[in-house]
Amino acid sequence: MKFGHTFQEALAADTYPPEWVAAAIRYRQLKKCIKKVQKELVSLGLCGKTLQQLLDNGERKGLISYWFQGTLKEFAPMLVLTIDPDGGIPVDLELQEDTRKALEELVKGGGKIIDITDGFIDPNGSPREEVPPPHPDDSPEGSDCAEEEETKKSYVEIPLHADVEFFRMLTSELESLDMIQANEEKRLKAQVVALGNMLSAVSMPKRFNPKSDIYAWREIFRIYVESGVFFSTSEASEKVRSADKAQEQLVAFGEKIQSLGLVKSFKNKESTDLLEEFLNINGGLLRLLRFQEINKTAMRKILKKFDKRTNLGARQTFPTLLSADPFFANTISKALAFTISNQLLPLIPQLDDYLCPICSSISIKPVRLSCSHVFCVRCLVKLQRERKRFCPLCRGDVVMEANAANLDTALYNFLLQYFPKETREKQLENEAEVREEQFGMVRRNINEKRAQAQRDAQEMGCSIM
Amino acid sequence: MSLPKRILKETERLRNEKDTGIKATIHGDNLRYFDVEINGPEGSPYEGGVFELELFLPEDYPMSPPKVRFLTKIYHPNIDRLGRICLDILKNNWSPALQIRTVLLSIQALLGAPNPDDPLANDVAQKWKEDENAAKATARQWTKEYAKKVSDQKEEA
Repeated sequence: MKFGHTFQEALAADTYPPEWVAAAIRYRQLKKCIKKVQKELVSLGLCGKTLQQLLDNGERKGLISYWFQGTLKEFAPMLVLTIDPDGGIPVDLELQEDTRKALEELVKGGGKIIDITDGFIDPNGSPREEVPPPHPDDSPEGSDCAEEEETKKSYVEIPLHADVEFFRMLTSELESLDMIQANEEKRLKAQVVALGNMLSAVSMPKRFNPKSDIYAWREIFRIYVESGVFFSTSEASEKVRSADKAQEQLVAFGEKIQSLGLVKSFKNKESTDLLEEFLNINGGLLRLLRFQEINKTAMRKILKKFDKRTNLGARQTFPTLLSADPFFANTISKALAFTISNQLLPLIPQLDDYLCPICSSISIKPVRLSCSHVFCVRCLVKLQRERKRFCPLCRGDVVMEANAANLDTALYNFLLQYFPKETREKQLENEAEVREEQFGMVRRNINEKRAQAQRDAQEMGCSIM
Repeated sequence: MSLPKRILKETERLRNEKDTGIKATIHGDNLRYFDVEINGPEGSPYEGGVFELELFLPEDYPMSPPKVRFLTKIYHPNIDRLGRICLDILKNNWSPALQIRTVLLSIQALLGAPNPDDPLANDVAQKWKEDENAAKATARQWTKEYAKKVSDQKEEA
């Protein structure tokens, strides 16, 4: 199937608002425009094959250069021919008769001679390489050798009206795409903030809100983070997902929530609506991502087609301009995904952030050492009892000095409020452990093992690195 | 005594571990004993080899470090013929905030950065100091001869 068709279908199939569809890249019109460029080039005797011979490319400087001058906001494609100082076409070129004729006419017939003092010349270049550099930005102001150069070569711009039209069209599309994106960003961000406010209310700890849904929401967000809808969370591949993959993950997330019956466990009826809204926001971001994706593909395809028909090599030069465009830089969808993570997820504290690094259970009661690292009181007592002086996280010599004053009361109260179940469970465990210790069994056992371990270490006689 | 929550969590996390070239699976029904596989790090003489180790969590883990030993024969100045490893965090510099995973990553790093100035296998360390290239060639040779190959490991999976 032709891409133009696929593109139209993709635009029609998804639920894009009409103004989005209108702003999408007009692939068919652009394609027609390419035909015009091609015709124009042929009328100048510059068919694809001839151009390929004459044009600058990576390895070889040619007689004709093609580049984009200006910035993304305002630029013009430039096709420039190098001619002899007397205004003639270099004779040593094997040109088709009609091409030569057409070019000569162009030079005579008022093709715009480009002033060298425009500064497109590399003053140190050897005569053979005296062609404008393909980068529009590195044009030094006025060059000392300009006059000397002028006696050798001149440059004539070959005007291509259709070419200008093509790229004007393309950039105007970009502008409207940027606008769509900026509006959508604003809309989604506002939604996120509104959702955040309502979410805080339904998930308040029990003390303030006896019908707290904090446990259900915590589970929902935990699964959401785990699903990594827009970003893969595994270390090896932390990048933005494709829209297809993101959709897959989002569906999986929705299904998992359903299968766990979390919606039924809501005590506030608002929570159900809020979950819907949360899914909607994600859906909105997904739609934007997908819209970006198909437009990017359209852009890639149309430039490819342009090059295939004209041989001008725009695919190499045009994308450097594009990289400054917010729509194509892909930063917005990333930023929005971060907004969701930063605005919503912290409203519901996750247990993983409050675990004791030693026992991996909730840090109850939390003791903050002077190095500011937090451990649960049971683990700290064990460290002190075994005379392990150094903080397990930073190796600061701070363990032995800790006492009752190191209990972090604010954190303790916070944990009691936000993690009532885990706190209760942990306290029961702690009590059981203390009882067991009072019998002395465990303690003796540990000491024996330790002595054995020390003997082992001595036998090995390995000094420590 | 029942298995501490921390060990359960670590085991769970290790089960999902991918991409890092370390693997630890519970051996039989002893939940404190693990079969370990470490891939030789890239750019080291152990590259391409998969080394088998055993790991045991003592009763007072994580207050005491796990006990780890190479089962695959390996030519390395800090690992002796019995597979014992000279690594500070397995001894005096153990911290209860370290985990099975971090221990195994440290061992993998030790393969990439041998330290002949603090030898456990004296003969190997001496060779390493006298003629590093020859020592590395031996290490490569041993890797080929005794370690499982990465390609075989993939086929198993």
